[in-house]
Amino acid sequence: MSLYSFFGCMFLAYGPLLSIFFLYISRDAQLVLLMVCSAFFWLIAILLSSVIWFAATPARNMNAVTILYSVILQELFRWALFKLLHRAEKGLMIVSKNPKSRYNRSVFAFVSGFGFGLTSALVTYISTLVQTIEPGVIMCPSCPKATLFFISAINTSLTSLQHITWMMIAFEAYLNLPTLLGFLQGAWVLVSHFGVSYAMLLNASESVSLGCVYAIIIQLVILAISITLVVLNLKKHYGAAVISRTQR
Amino acid sequence: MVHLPFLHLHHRLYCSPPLDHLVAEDIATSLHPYIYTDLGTWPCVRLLNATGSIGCQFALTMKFWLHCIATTGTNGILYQLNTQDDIDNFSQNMPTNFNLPPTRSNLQTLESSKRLSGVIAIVNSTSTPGSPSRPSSYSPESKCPNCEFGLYANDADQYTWNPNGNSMIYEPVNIPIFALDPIDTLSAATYKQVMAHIHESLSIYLQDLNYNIEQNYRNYPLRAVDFSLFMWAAVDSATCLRRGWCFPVGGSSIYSSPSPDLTGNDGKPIIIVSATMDSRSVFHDLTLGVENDISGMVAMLAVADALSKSPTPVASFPKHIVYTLFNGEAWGYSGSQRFVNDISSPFECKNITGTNTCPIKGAACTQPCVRDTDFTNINFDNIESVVEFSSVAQSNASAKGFWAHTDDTTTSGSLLQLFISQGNSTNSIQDAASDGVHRKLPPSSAQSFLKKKRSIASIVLSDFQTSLDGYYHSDYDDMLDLATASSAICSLASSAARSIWLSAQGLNNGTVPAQVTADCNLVTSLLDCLTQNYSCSLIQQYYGVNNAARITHYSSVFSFGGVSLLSLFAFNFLGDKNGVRRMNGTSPASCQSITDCQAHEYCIRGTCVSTLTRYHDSYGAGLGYNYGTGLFNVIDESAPTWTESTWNPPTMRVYSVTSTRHQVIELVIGVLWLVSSIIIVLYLKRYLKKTLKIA
Repeated sequence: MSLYSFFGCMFLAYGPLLSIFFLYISRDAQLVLLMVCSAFFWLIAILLSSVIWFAATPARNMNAVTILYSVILQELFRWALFKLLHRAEKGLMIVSKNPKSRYNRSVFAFVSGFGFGLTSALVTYISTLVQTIEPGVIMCPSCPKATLFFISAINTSLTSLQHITWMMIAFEAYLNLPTLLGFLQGAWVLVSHFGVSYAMLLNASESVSLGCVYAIIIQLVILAISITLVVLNLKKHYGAAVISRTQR
Repeated sequence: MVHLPFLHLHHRLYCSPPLDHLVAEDIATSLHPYIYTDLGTWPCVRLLNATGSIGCQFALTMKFWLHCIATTGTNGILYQLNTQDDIDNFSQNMPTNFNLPPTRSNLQTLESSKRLSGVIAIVNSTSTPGSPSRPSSYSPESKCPNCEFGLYANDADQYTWNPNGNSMIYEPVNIPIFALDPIDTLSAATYKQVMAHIHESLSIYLQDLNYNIEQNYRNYPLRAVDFSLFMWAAVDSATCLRRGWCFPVGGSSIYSSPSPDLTGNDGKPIIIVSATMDSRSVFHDLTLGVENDISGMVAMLAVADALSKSPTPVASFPKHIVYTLFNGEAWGYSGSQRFVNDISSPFECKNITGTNTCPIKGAACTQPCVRDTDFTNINFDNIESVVEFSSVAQSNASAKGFWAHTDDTTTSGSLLQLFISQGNSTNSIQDAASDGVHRKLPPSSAQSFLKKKRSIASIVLSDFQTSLDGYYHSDYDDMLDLATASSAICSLASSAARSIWLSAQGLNNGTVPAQVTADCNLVTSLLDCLTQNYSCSLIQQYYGVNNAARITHYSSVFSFGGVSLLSLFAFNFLGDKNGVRRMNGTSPASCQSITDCQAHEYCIRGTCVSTLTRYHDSYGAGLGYNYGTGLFNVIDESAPTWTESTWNPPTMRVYSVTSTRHQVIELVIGVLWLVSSIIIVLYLKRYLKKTLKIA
């Protein structure tokens, strides 16, 4: 590998995050703070996961088990974050740029999701990215023509986007609890999070040929569904306003 | 597969631990061990003298690639070179294999192609099945080794003792060369990791290499290697010593005498019985030197043992016997020249005033910095004769028997006749000049004595008559036929012990007591211990040693008070044979360590021994120690001034690489993804602003 690979993988993994941050979030100090807060929640989740991993010696090499409890922990902290933000919503509204804007709630969810996505992308991929500067590579076991660095970059990028959509759907779901719609949306977040995480196991599989491609396809499908849900939710809330505004 | 030689790694653990037991923590913390396979190896090092440097010269860059491929320029792809045609092909177009001893022309061809960036030399062990055969003779030494520092340096027609020599050892090489040789557990693990038997065929391929062959060197990812070895020293000895980036090549010589009361003015003549302790080869860590010079050293130790069994103590003889084992001899007779200089010039101790730059604790004198001053008791003018054992293992001598070389038949004539008369029928001792050609002395420490005083009678015993061993100072001098070698050495040692026994009493003939005979079992043990098993029971008698199997016989670098494993053994063995045990009543005074004994006694084999056995410093005669600065410097450019560069721990690792094209594609995809992200974000912002009046 070389600088080519380093920059290639870096842009691939962090391209969406970088552009969202510099073109949107960084313009608003409050959003940056919110992002940091959310990032901190994800970090605590992953810290607890590592404690469990460290303590559960026999299960250390069982990735399926590790995924199980770390996803559950992330979802718990997502819920905790929601609770916190919900309680602080009034205050947040006051300090926001447009205190009276009805879209703030969605913006907060988006930025919180970004915080989750950013931290997970940094934590999971940065040590791998560092290796790309050195000459040696490790090929992806299921796709021997591509390097693991490259495949991981794609997955990192997609997962960071997943986190944004999940947060937006989850906040919507938590607000709607205990209705059926709320349960369904919450379930989707959990199921798709598991789906994405377990699909990653295909990358390391030597028995499934082109496993990394399936993993990416699964990611894309889930992402597409999530985005659709987000758009539907947004339309539901703001559709009337948009229509009324356009009619005016 | 490459046979090459060039390097050095002290017996320290520079190698990464084998990656057998990767634990989950490693996986979690770093991918590194999965990408790179670190290999323990023996690198090429730079040596310097008064006029320049030899050995492998690396540019200041830390990384080197093995066998660069022209299409990529930077990727060090592994190639195999087996034949001469392969070398030509490699330098012209598509490379393959290299299975030839490294000669100057081979390396030059490869180097000039600009496609070679390093060589892994498989110094195949003879015990490895399927290893390529070795050339029948290969000596990287010069045609007349160390002759410029010897007795005949100014002679017009010096005899060519080493006609096979190709002087590779003196070549500055601009590429890194590393050796792979499975001589111990660690290196065998490395070897195994890199190499694999292909079916049951005789060929061994580098496993990674074989993969590249299958991939036709074109289908990436390919396996590559890089080296990291930084040589600190540059230019020449004077420069690097001043900068503190090199150390003198040398070590500790040993001298020992059974006469405890030896003094300079007791008027007794002295017989020096000598051998060389160190050897030399391209890869210093692999240096063994079974012929040169372990065999001579073993013979000398066997003689010391035989004479110690004399019914009449040798100490009571009218002549003194002094055993000398010189270190650093391969480097311009460093040990013997320094010893001769020290005992032939008046010793004047001027203890340092001011900052003490003598690193020896409890030094007898701080300027000159010496451990003891007992060498002053050896009066150079009293030295009557020098008996030296050169290579005597008879590893490839067709005719049995030994040859006695002399400088001058008149001064050494009677000594020669004495030795010839004591030879036995199967391993006779003959006059090397018996064919009518007087070749004078072969490369030997005796030359250092004669250089100072030509009238000393001298005799150099060897298994060759006309030319040195075919593997002289080569990494291939590592084969030992234990039975043949020990019977030959034992027989010679017996003859020599009898001759010296007679000579020490001024006799030319007579009956020598049967006790004065070399112990063949001892010879066998010595050979075994010094070649392949330093942890053997013989050495365990003297001190505990663990996990030392084959040790290097390169003298390494000199440090005040420093003692190598070889010197340590020689000291204890000679001290034991020539020492006197102090009796506590009827039983010997026992001890656990030297602190249990009285002053000037040593604790050898659990008893307190007083003996005239001492270490003596050995480093090039052209080097001196500056007591003001605490640095060595070059004081005489015409004398040996060898120094070894300091170097960082070497690394060699194997890993996969992708093609540059592949990497550029990755970059393009990454950039496209970033750009599209930016565009989408900008578009969404605009859209939302327009429709929702937010963001």
